[in-house]
Amino acid sequence: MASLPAQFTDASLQQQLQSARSLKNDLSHQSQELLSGIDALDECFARVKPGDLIEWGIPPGMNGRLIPLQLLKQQIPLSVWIYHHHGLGVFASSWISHGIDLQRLFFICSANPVKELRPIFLEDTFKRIIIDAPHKFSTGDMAFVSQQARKQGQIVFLIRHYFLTAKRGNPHASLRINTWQSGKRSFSLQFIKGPNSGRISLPYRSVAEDHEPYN
Amino acid sequence: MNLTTKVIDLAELRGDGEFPVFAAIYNPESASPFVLSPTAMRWGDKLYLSRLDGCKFFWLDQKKKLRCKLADLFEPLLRHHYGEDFVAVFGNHPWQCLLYLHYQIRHQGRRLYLLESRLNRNIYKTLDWECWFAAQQELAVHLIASNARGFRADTFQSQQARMRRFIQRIGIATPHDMIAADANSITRRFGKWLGLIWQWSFTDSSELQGFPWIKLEQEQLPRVKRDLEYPVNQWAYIEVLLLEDFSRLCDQFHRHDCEHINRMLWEITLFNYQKVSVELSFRHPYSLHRDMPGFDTALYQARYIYDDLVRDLRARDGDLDLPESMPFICWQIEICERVMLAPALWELFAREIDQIDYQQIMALQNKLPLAFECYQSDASFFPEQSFTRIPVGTAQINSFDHYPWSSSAANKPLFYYQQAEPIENPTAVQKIFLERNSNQWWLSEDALQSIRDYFILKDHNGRSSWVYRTQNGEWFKQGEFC
Repeated sequence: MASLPAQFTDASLQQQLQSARSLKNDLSHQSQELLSGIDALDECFARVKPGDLIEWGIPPGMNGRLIPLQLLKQQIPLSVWIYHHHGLGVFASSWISHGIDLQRLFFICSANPVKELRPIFLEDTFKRIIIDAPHKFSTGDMAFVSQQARKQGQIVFLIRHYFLTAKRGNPHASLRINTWQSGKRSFSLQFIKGPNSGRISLPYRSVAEDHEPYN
Repeated sequence: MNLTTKVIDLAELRGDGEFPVFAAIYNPESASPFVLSPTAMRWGDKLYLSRLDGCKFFWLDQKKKLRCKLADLFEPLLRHHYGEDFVAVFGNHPWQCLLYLHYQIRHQGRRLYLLESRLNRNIYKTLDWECWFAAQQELAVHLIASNARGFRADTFQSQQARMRRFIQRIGIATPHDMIAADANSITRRFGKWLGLIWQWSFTDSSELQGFPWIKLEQEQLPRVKRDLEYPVNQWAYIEVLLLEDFSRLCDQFHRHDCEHINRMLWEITLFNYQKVSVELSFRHPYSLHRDMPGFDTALYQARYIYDDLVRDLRARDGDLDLPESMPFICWQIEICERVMLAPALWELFAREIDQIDYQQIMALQNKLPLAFECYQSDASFFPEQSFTRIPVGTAQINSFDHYPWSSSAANKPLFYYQQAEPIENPTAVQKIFLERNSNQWWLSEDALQSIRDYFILKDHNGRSSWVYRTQNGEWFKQGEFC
């Protein structure tokens, strides 16, 4: 007489359901991927998971990079910051003074990161990849980077040198945020896409040291 | 409780210990003499000299990575290749290394000796005349072999005998007791060659000074040649053929686990029979056979070279009637620089330091056209000197807390201009004073010139930049608050 295979019996289904529930419980207790130590900021990034691409709009001169920097302070895995600013180099002391562990954060300069640094995206050596103001970054590049990030459980920050708008969307990014220093006393974050919406302000002191005007 | 006492070598601690230029090695296994360097000389039966200055930076880099002393780096490597009974002496002149090696062999010494260390230096001073003359027996053979000008074995022997008689007469026990005698006076009394040997025995210089160095030629380096049946210029085809060639190269060195490649030469013959030589270089010694079957690293480096070459050829041959660029008709790949690294040592390089797998990062870096930038802080308030760029995997050990210096950069931007840009005197914009800074004013003739006043400038659009004013009233932009 034919019998049901063991994996299709009621008892087996029950076990599978239980194990799925326990898996979900485990996931809900998993630690947050991006932590800054600033409660308001951590709340905004609570749902970020490995494989996500976050797009930032940070025009030059607005000091906005200090916000993504906050998310690289706490026990970061190996990370790489790919930058391309005309004539500008990394001022390492400033990064150290903001509490960045430069043994875990590496830098590399490239105008066309996907073409020039393809092996970085094909391997999972770096769990955080920051692509800062690339000179060339096509939609195809974006699709490739986000696909690789999902495959390898990496979190990618893509920093644009202009403010993002809702008019021109980005289907590959799970979060789209504009950040800038607003006045002397605060930093602003404007959410374009993601679970949060609107705008939040962070006091300057929570992000960097304060200084007084000269004249 | 197991207590160990470790003697701290001040020179090592300060990091200014000298790197030895030569090594004399007694190699009972008769293994490859190219373990430490590709430059070696056969001195005698089972006795080799190795010249290390060409590989100095490689070994210093490994020493830093492993956070160990030079002796701890070389000893496992030599033990792996030469067995337990090797004797190696490291020093600045080959003659001093040989002299001390003879002494150690005579006294059944084993392992590794650095002549730079105080203990070995003191023992070296006690070497007797017997040891000094015994080491000269093989020297005469090499002077003849190198056709040393004016050297005659019979004259040299009679000069040696004269010197022995002189020493017996005046009753001096060791060469070091006679150190006050300069090489010129020895030359005048006992001839040119004994004068030179005298000079080598006490010199601090790493120059050969007439020492008969006869370079030992390396055995034939692995090389593969490919004649193409039809001209090709598309990477997709070239890649497949290169894969086969790399595999053939692996077979040539029998997939030896110690073989690591620094450089490969790719000599391409173009359609017009012009030969172009390009180099595939690896920032970290690359194990070809461990990268089988894909040879990703070598292929990436070949691809970067191919792209550059094709771009140059297109620019050059724009006026020729060619399909895309000048095709290749044959090529040859030759391993032109390699280093033998014992697998045990290689595993040491691979170990994780501070839970960072540097081996993985270095392997990735080998596949990239440019290197990663790594930095560490320096104890200086002057912005340009407050940090240094370091190679990947270099242990960052600060002997004291750099916080007072690093915290002073909190109000400075993340990116800066390596060459500050002169700007107009900013009058109608907001200025926020940061600090007054002076760089080593005691070294400059005009101390005031080294003083800089740093400001944050905010323009009307709210954009901030980092600027400074010199004592002449000139303004320079040094960074942007990106």
